[in-house]
Amino acid sequence: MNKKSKKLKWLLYAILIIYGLVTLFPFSWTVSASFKSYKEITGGGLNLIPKQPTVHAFKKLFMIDPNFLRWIFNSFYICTLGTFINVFLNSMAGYSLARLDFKGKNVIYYGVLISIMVPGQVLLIPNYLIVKSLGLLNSYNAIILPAAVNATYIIMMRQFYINFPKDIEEAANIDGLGRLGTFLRVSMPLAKPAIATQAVFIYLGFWNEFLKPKLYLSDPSKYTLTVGIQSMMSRYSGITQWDEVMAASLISLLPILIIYIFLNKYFMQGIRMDGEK
Amino acid sequence: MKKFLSILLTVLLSFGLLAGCKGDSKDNSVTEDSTTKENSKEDMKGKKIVVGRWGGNDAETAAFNQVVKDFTEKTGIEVEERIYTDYNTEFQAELIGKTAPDVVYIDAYMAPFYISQGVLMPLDEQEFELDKFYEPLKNAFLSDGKYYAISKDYSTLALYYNKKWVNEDDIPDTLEELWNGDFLTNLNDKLPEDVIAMTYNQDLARNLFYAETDGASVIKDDIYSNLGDSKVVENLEPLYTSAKEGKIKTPADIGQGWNGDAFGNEKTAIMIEGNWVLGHLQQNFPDVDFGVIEIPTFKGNRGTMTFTVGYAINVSTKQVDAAKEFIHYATGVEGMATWSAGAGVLPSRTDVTESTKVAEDLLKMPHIKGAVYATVWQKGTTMDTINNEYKNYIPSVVSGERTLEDALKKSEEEANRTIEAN
Repeated sequence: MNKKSKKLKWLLYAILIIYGLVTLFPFSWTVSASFKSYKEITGGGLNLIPKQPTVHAFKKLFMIDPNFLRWIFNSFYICTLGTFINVFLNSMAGYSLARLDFKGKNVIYYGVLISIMVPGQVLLIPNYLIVKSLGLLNSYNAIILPAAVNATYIIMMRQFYINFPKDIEEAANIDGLGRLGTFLRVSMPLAKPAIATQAVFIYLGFWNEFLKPKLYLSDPSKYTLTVGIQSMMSRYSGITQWDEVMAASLISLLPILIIYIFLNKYFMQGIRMDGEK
Repeated sequence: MKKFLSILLTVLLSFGLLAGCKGDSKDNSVTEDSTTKENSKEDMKGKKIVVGRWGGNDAETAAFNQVVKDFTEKTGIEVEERIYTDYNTEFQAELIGKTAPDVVYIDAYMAPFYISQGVLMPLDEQEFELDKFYEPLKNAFLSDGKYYAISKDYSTLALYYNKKWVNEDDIPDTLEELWNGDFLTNLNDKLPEDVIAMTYNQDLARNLFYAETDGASVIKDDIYSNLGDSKVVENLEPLYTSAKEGKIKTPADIGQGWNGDAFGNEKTAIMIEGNWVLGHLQQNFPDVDFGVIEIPTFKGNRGTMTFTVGYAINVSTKQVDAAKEFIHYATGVEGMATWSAGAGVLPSRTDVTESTKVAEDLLKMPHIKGAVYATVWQKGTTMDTINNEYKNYIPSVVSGERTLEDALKKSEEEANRTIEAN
């Protein structure tokens, strides 16, 4: 390595380290602030080590707040059920578009593609009216059912199954499996990376979903964590109790972090989308 | 992003409201004689109403639950509460979906909009004993001679000072003297380096009462901005002269989120703030020793801002009598006393102020005095646009980039352009 490229390498490292610190700092501050008192947070200073560490905010969330644990459960319930339904239906739809021949297949495919391009916000009111007429308002199903399929991941699964080796399915077919059996027992299990990738994204999508739960859920005990945290921000006459909000935000990050750590291997494979075993 | 989406949704919903949610605006209020009333009370047992409100702190939730419990015991009417986290977005979606509550909180600031949409039911002045309410609070929901909501409580602005640095007797009696005299300069000289004499807000929600002193108005023809009017400019001049000279600063200028934190962290010695700050200071900054007085006079007049929320009835409700009964109780002597004592807020009725002895609290008393002469934070349906432009251009005055007159003229033009385009 010559002198010039060595210098460039160090410069690149320096830029990356600075960028890394800038990116990491807000998150580190959130973690630190959740262990500070309100007075210390608002007193200024960007110190990451709390002067007088306290778990008061966590105590308040778990021991005094009547709804916080319930919000965590609600988010888990909606995310888990929603993700399972999504993964199953998206995979089925993607598989159908990739493997089956039927009339209007291309029309449906382009229809799915077009639906990705419609901004979600535009559909909020029609969706609200549909949810209302189905009698789902103020229920978990109001969040889960309208989002039971996702066009983006249907396309993703279609691409996956297009590249998926046909020979494996044909071998299963020779061994006596029908179309559904082949899909459930051969194609789905071999699509683990793609499924894991969409599962992570769908789970994240449900976990971070804000507008729909806010619009559809009116009972505080049914709030998801995002809506719950937002309600915490305004409950003291519009004054945000930052220590509690930071602690709640930190807690809301943990499940996603754990899921990502578990599924990281599949996630990275899934990004390749090459259908290898 | 979420804020942007909320704003976007609110705009969409507003169009939806205009298009298809115009409620029946006929006057449903009826006066009944006492016998009929008693009979109808019997009939109401077992009825159920939904009351929409936004969440509050633990004390407010407990107080509301107590009011509901007492009301149900008394009348047999059941109450289901619906809590909003983003009131305007959710309430408007419910109006479109015909799922809005029977009784709902209405912020005085938003009242003109909802009244103009015809979604609120007019309420009878005598039935709800409006003569017992503070005049500005009662009139906050008045439109074309009809009342559309009954104030449940209120907040006003008062002057807070830190006793460590400020002696109450030294505080000037007029705002002109406070801002433009030597008091703040002298105070700044004796304060520690990182503390400033006074914080202020560049927001019409805080500045309206002196901006409109002596008959000036920030709005003309009911909707257009009139900020460039020479009277408004003249009224705002003392405040911004002080700001330009660096005698007063905004909380943001000293790295604070709002006055309450700046005062609690002892970064400022004086602020003008609402009574919502009392609980905040007591909870988060218990060591700060402070006093509260009425805002000094301006051009010889007493003035302050008041912020109030009322109970209103959704015009589409099928439970008119039960909804009225609830408002009657919640804003009556008993219900309001339970609510204000439990939630630590100020009662909108003069008789409840007396019966609960809330005025004996020295920290609340200046706020209560303000209820009589306060300006309600409410001014038509275009105030958001006007205030946004005001807030956009005022910093250029403080930085010396523009004169106050230029900035207000410019903000008036910009606001009117937006209003006309809409």
